[in-house]
Amino acid sequence: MTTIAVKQFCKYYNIPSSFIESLSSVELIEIIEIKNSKHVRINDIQQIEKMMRLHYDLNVNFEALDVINHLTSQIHSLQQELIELKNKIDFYQ
Amino acid sequence: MEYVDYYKLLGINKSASEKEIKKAYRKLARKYHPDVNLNNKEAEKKFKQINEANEVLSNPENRKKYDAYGENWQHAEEFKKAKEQQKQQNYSYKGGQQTHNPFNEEDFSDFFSAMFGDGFQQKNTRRGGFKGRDYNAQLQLNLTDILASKKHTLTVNNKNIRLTIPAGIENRQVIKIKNQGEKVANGGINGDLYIEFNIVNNTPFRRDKNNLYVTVDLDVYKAILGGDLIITTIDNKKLKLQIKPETQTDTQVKLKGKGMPIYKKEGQFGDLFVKFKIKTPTNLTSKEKELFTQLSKLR
Repeated sequence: MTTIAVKQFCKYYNIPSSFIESLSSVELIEIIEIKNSKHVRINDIQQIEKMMRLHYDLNVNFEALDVINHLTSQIHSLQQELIELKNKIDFYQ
Repeated sequence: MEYVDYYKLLGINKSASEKEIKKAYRKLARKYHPDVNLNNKEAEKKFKQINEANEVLSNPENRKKYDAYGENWQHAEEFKKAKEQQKQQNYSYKGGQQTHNPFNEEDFSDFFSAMFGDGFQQKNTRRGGFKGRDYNAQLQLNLTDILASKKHTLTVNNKNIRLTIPAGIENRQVIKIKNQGEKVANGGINGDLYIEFNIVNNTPFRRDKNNLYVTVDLDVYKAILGGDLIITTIDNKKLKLQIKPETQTDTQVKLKGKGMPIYKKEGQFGDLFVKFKIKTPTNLTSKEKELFTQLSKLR
């Protein structure tokens, strides 16, 4: 598992570490303790970036981020299903 | 090039306060933000428009000029000059500050460029190090183009990108090319490029994921007596099929491993299903009619 220290991440993105902690508190990401230091998974970076844009650009609070995350995942799986169905229609046309 | 009514875009009147502009922008931005509108090009376009409106109206100086010239935007040349001067003056003040403009110049309308110039920089300074925007592109290929992994060169935003397209990619499948989106300065992370594939099927084969389906004509004599039938596979190879005597119409045979290559599984293929349609002869001679009559009497 590849991780990055929260401290390093926050310095790079110029955001407070409380942002990451808040994301963790609504279970949008998981904070991992490695040798007394807090880390996040590299795989979660894309998700964190998205949450940063929504929070800082659009003033979306953390509870709403959780709702948005849930709904966008649903949209994503529905879009995938739609692609499969469209291809199925092409097959019968 | 048309005049763009930024007030109308944000749904506010000309006397709107800064607070009202911000409120209207935020409300629309939440609705059309690309992060909450997955793969929605209409929303992306709308998001760019409202951003442009916000760029102009939330800056008191830009708003003043916009209000002054408005529909007479063609006479905004003097303003452009003033803006250039101001940009030079601001340079030393801005020195060292990390700024990131999340929009390219092409994201702004022609009207905007004519009025405010190409060197316009967004007022809002977002946190440094943000990721650049992702780009979306579409690539059309024929079904026969994806029978083997091939190298292709794409031109996206005047930049040539070489990529290998894996064999067996699905129609409407989207692949991500890392770092080929918007380039970001000051240590930020470049955006990604998303390519949606449009696979055009100009073959007699119908595709369902990795399997191919084809219907072939079978003459009545071969269907009754059996025999060999040559069929052509999607990769233009000839295959000899043994037709069993008394084959019925709509009989389907499976040719294992003669379908589409399986995506990212080298050397693995789907199957080819061949369905027979028995073709009865037409324009029978009197002799043939006589023989068929005799045959019918035997049953």
